[in-house]
Amino acid sequence: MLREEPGPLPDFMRVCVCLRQVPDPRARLELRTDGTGLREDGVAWVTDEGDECALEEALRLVRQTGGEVCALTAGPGRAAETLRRALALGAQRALHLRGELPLDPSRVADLLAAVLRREAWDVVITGAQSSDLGWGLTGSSLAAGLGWPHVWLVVGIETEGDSKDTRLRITRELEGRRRELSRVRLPAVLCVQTGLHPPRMPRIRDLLAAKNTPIETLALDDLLSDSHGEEARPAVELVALSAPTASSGGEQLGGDPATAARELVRRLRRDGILPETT
Amino acid sequence: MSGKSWAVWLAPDVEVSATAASRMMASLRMAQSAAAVRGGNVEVVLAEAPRPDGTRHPTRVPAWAKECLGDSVVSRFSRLEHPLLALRTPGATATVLAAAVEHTDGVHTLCLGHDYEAVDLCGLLGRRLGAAAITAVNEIRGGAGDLRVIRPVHGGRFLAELRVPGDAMLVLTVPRSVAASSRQPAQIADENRCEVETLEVEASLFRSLPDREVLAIEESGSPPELATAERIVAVGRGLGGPEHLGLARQLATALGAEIAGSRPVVDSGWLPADRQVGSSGQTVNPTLYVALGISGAAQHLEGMSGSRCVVAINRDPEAPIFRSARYGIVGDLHAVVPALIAALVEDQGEPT
Ligand SMILES: Cc1cc2nc3c(=O)[nH]c(=O)nc-3n(C[C@H](O)[C@H](O)[C@H](O)COP(=O)(O)OP(=O)(O)OC[C@H]3O[C@@H](n4cnc5c(N)ncnc54)[C@H](O)[C@@H]3O)c2cc1C
Ligand SMILES: Nc1ncnc2c1ncn2[C@@H]1O[C@H](COP(=O)(O)O)[C@@H](O)[C@H]1O
Repeated sequence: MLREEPGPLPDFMRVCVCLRQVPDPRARLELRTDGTGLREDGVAWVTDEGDECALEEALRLVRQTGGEVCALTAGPGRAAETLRRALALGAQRALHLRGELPLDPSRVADLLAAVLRREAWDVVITGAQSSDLGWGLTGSSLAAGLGWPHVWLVVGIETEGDSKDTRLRITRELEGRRRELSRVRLPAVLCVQTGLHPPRMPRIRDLLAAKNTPIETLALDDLLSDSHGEEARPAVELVALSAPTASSGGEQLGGDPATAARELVRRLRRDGILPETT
Repeated sequence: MSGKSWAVWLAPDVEVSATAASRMMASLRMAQSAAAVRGGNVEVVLAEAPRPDGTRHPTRVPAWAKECLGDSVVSRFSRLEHPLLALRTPGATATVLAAAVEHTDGVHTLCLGHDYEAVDLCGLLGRRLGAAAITAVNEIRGGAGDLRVIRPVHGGRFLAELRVPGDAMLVLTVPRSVAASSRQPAQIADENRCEVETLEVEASLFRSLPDREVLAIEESGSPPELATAERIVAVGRGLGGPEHLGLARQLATALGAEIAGSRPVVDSGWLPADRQVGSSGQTVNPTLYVALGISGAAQHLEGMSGSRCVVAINRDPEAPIFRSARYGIVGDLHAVVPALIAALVEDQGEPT
């Protein structure tokens, strides 16, 4: 599957986009009283916002080159909703790796890699960092598992116009407002940063239609046994979630907005942050 | 357990900034914690490419690195030099670091300062070494036969306590906040003696992980205008939409402040890119930083934690931004900001 000799970009790109379903980060999240995790009752599950951007880039890439976008998620039954939404937005296929998801990003990457290994792909697109666990590791670990290169924090994807090359020109964000320009050989994993293009919104009609599109489902437990090398690495498991201890010295100003605002101005003047009035 | 706990310092290709130095100190603090919990010695490994003219770096501790070491006791300072490091790609760097670990007996923990380069290679290195890779680690503790690693999740709203087997090799990235909140003074000695050596490893491109080919690094075209601002009013997604920017601008005018924003605000086009504060935007050090509807994600804090006084206005009492704020007001910014503007104007003591 690894093309050793550079050849032309395929005119039918097979793109798989990895989507994670997460608790809505804008909603209030509460801890279970035993401290072992989140209270799942009342949690609204949504597609990770960063992954919506990943899907947008997948759809754009395929529109440019021709090809097909497949949406892939690993997670319990509810995660099918994320796939339906992806189908409504324009993905042609959906793959659901169904089961309880491990916390360890390297296990998640093993699982995704085991699914991806079953077919040939040109590009796999992921988000840069999940909004719930925020490892920033699944994409690169997935690439390492497949023996492919990856680029993390992609902010630009260009097909190399005239050159006959199975490569993409990628712009990547660095710290200090710098950018890195690189060329990457396919197949590759691209971990896209937010903000390239605003993700599209699904139409009701397409959401309804997507309900009838079949989702290919695999049992996560079956794949755990196929996934390579996993027993060689130590497992990372969740013991407890807690709220960080209260603020280090910050002062909450209470009362109605007018009172709080006046108190704030008074303190800022007292502290010499704002000049004293004369 | 004996063995070695490494702080791995990737020498930047430009000069060592204050931020880079504090990340190196943070990785050293964590390596010390890991040694306290797991036993063994603390060693610093400074990884760098040969000089551009091909000459070797001298076998001594560079001046900037002495400052990062402070009065910490480390048993060895190794200079790891390899041409593959010049590529500055995660596959190449992970290959060299893995070779260095395999070449050394008993390394149980590798700590890298948490930055994009470290996160980018951390998973590859973990795989190569059969280690557990964990990003943004605040703390490491001992458990019964296992280890506990603490890191933030859900955008800093919660802390996760993770369990890893006691004999696992760990590859950790350590945010610079760890350098500031160090609890290691017991280890301090007044002399800074350590063995200094050059670490030679065999690592070839052939064995390296697949990588991209870097063509160029581009600097941002726009000047860092916010870097010198005395006061900043920064808006986040909680503003609700660009139609409310006027309100934030009024507050900025009343305070004599510059306007800035979080990444989603720039991503959505409410403000131009040169107004973004954070790890992928600008670093600011104002006297006053007013955060309106900003949750306080680590990447945002990275850009503004040098502010002298942070004021946070947010309707979620548990928003992480409040932990970095000197003053906080819990409430809807659409009610609080007009009140604040009124209080500022009224306070000006305008003569009637
Ligand atoms: C590699 C990388 C680099 C990044 N770089 C940056 C960076 O440079 N800068 C940056 O900012 N982010 C950066 N991010 C993104 C970062 O992780 C967060 O997603 C982002 O900072 C969140 O922005 P926010 O606080 O505006 O939005 P949110 O997290 O959505 O927070 C909105 C807040 O507004 C509050 N709110 C809502 N309505 C109201 C109201 N009416 N009144 C008062 N409060 C209200 C909510 O309670 C919430 O706390 C980066 C991420 C990655 C992965
Ligand atoms: N359960 C999952 N199913 C599909 N993709 C995932 C899953 N978990 C993580 N990913 C992908 O990996 C990216 C990075 O996640 P993380 O390493 O958790 O920060 C996400 O943005 C997704 O694209």
